[in-house]
Amino acid sequence: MELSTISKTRTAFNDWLNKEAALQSNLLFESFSSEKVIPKDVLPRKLKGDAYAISCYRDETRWSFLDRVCERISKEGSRFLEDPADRDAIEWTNRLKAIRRDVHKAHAFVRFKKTTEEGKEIFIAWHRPQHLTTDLFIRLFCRRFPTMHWMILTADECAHFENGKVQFSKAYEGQSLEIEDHWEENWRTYYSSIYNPARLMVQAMKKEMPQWHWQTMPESSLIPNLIRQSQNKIHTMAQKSQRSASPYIPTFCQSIEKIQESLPQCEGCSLHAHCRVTPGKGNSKASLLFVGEQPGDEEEKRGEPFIGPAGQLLRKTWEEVGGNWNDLYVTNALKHFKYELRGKMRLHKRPGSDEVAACRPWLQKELELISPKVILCLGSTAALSVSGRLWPVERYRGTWLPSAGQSRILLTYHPAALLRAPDQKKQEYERDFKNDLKLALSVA
Amino acid sequence: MYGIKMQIAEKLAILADAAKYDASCASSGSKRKNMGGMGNTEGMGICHSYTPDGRCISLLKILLTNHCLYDCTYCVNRVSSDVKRAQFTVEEVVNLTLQFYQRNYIEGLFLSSGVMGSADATMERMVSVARTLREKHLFGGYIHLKAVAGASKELCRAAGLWADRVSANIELPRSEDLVKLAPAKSHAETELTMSILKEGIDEAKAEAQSKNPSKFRKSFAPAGQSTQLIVGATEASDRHILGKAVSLYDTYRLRRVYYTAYSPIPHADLSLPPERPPLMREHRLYQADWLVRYYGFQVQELATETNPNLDLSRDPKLCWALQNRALFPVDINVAPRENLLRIPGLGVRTVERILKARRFRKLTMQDLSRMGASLKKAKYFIQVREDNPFLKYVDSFGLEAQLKPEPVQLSLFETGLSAQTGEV
Ligand code: SF4
Ligand code: SF4
Repeated sequence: MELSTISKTRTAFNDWLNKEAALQSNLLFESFSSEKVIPKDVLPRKLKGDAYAISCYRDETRWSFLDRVCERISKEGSRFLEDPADRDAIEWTNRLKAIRRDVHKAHAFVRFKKTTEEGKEIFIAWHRPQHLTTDLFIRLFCRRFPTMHWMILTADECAHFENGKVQFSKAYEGQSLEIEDHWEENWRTYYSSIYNPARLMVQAMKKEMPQWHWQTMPESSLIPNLIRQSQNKIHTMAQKSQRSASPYIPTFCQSIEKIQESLPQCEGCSLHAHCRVTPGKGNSKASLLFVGEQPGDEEEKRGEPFIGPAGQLLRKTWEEVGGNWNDLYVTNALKHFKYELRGKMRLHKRPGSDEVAACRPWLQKELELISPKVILCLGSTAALSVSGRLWPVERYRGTWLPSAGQSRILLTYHPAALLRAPDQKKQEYERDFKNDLKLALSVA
Repeated sequence: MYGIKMQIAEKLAILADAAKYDASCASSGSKRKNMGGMGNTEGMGICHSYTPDGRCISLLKILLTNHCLYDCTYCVNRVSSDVKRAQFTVEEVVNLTLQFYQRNYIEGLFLSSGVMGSADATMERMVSVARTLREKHLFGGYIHLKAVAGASKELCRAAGLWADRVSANIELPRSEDLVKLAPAKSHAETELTMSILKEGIDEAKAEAQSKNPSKFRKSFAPAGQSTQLIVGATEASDRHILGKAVSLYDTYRLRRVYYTAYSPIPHADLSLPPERPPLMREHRLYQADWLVRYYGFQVQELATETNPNLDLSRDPKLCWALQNRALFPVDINVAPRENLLRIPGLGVRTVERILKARRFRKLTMQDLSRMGASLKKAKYFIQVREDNPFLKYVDSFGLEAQLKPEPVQLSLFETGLSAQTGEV
């Protein structure tokens, strides 16, 4: 591989500066127009840097434009370049801006892949600049990664960096870069986790990260999918947030019977479509009210709350502590059973906070009509619906939660949690559960 | 789940996801030369990628852990939320940062954390990430550390020594909202942290500017401090929010206040709004913030007592101009800088260009459009060299109709950009 210490663009620019030499040498990109002015002699020193940058503008007119500016400078001095309304000055600024943007985008979008060559670590990137900016944008990487051995390939020329020295070789003609770097997977994981689907703004993204560059960036393959997913998410989120049982509650709903009558018509959330409703049940003058999460398989079949295995455990414990089931009113945060089909089995599924919110007006109505002395929340979903807040059960069980109304609110485990508890914890759970029921009974 | 060691990738997914509600990702305003290891920081900040939400990825933005003792209602990581929890070791964060950095994915690290054990224990581990990167790996990239609420003065000072930026989030603009939604936090405490940081920053600056600065002087958060305000989680008005922001800018010399539209979080409290985040409001707040800091406006002019919220359909400068028509038209060719800045459709840069260009010639409408003015708005408010037929509207009721409100839809709007530039 032939390496040179000076880039193609720099060589071409030097040739242009010394026009004479340029006219003789075989030019790299295209020939300059044959003006009399020799740029080296008229171009003020402070403009040379900008002029070099502008010579990297990928466009047929780049040399003739520079020639024209030099000619004007030789006639009228360089002050016209400071006039923001002068045509050539505007062109000068615009080209400079385009170059700066291209350099900046290279700083941003160059992606190194780490690999080993002859036992040595090397970082290789393939980048597609819009302009001939390789020599310009690699400078940052020289300052930033002076101890690494790296290479940046472009379709104009390639830069090699090793031991603090940069060299150039001819263009890279490949259409991809086949190097495996497993860290790219971590980067993709990061990319898809850090963005917020609620804020989808594709135009803004494309403007700042033009699709032209996607080909050389490992994360870009994720974009179409992420967009599709988040559109769905937003759609369902918007739908979900609007759901509520409120429209199904009659305007004059002054009795528990009325609630029971109206519940079967509820379409407050999507759960109504999959099973029958299970209303609350019990003494409508109860001073103690139990709230569970949702009906289970058996409850749904028979239309009555707390008759499945967990319900039986609750009844048993309640009688053990001296309570009478018939004094109670028992209900659930959700009136429909949320499940997942596993073969023929209907497996309980945890409700989302959107469903809890949708069904909440029913429970609030029941609480309003019965106005018990004590509300016993069985598990965190019940507490969420009763108080509007999530309470970690392990920490807050057995304590009185803040209450906005007349009733006092006590939190304890859901009996199903006892059934599922690991053996070493079972006794502790059962003891706590019993104590909480005792406490509720004594206060009510 | 327990007992099995969580893979880095899984932790990364959880702890990046948990960090995404913090808006700030800037990597600008700091300069660090390469120290013989990896990386440098050159002041202007680089956005290495953009996600489909239009936001830039400049830093590896993660939490050290999303376990948290506290129960801030608006936060996904609060103790009562049932999200999956994870925790990085110091070494893991250091390695992730270096691996990403050397592939040019990022400018550096933005590390935040839930409170685990105690505020000081958490802060100490965050500081140790920064110190390891700087001391052991001679890392010259950008580091932003979030100050944990209630961390000690010593640890905040230590954070400033290694980081480019340290920030403490105010979160809610009114202290009474904080009492309700985040009982463990208070403005007083956050502002105490801010004043500790300001002290460190001021000292380092004084030292750097003194006649004979010590050769071994340490930098202290050279990119300054910033904060975040959540918008739309409570009833606080734009006037409240901007008022709070300005007082923070003034008192603690913050570099930036970030406004973040409250995003519905999974398993949210029912007391929080479940709707899409109010992105347009966020966008208008950034515009107003910019007008106050760079255009000489007062908060009271933009969000008035009678209209404490910004108009969503028009930019705040245009709204102000419509309310104050007596001050127009302004003559482009003679008006002083501060008056030019008040013309709708002219940004700071265009104003600078006008000031330069009018030394050469009297400016026309066409000159203005070439210099980047948005004539769609400006033409009703300015005098130029030629006759301006649009001036007749200034004193008529027809002007509002001419200046049609913009759709409040977000997708049509480059809202993501305004968060970075705020340019009106
Ligand atoms: S779960 Fe509640 S809100 Fe949903 S349909 Fe059933 S009764 Fe209505
Ligand atoms: S302290 Fe921070 S992480 Fe913890 S709940 Fe509050 S905002 Fe969330």
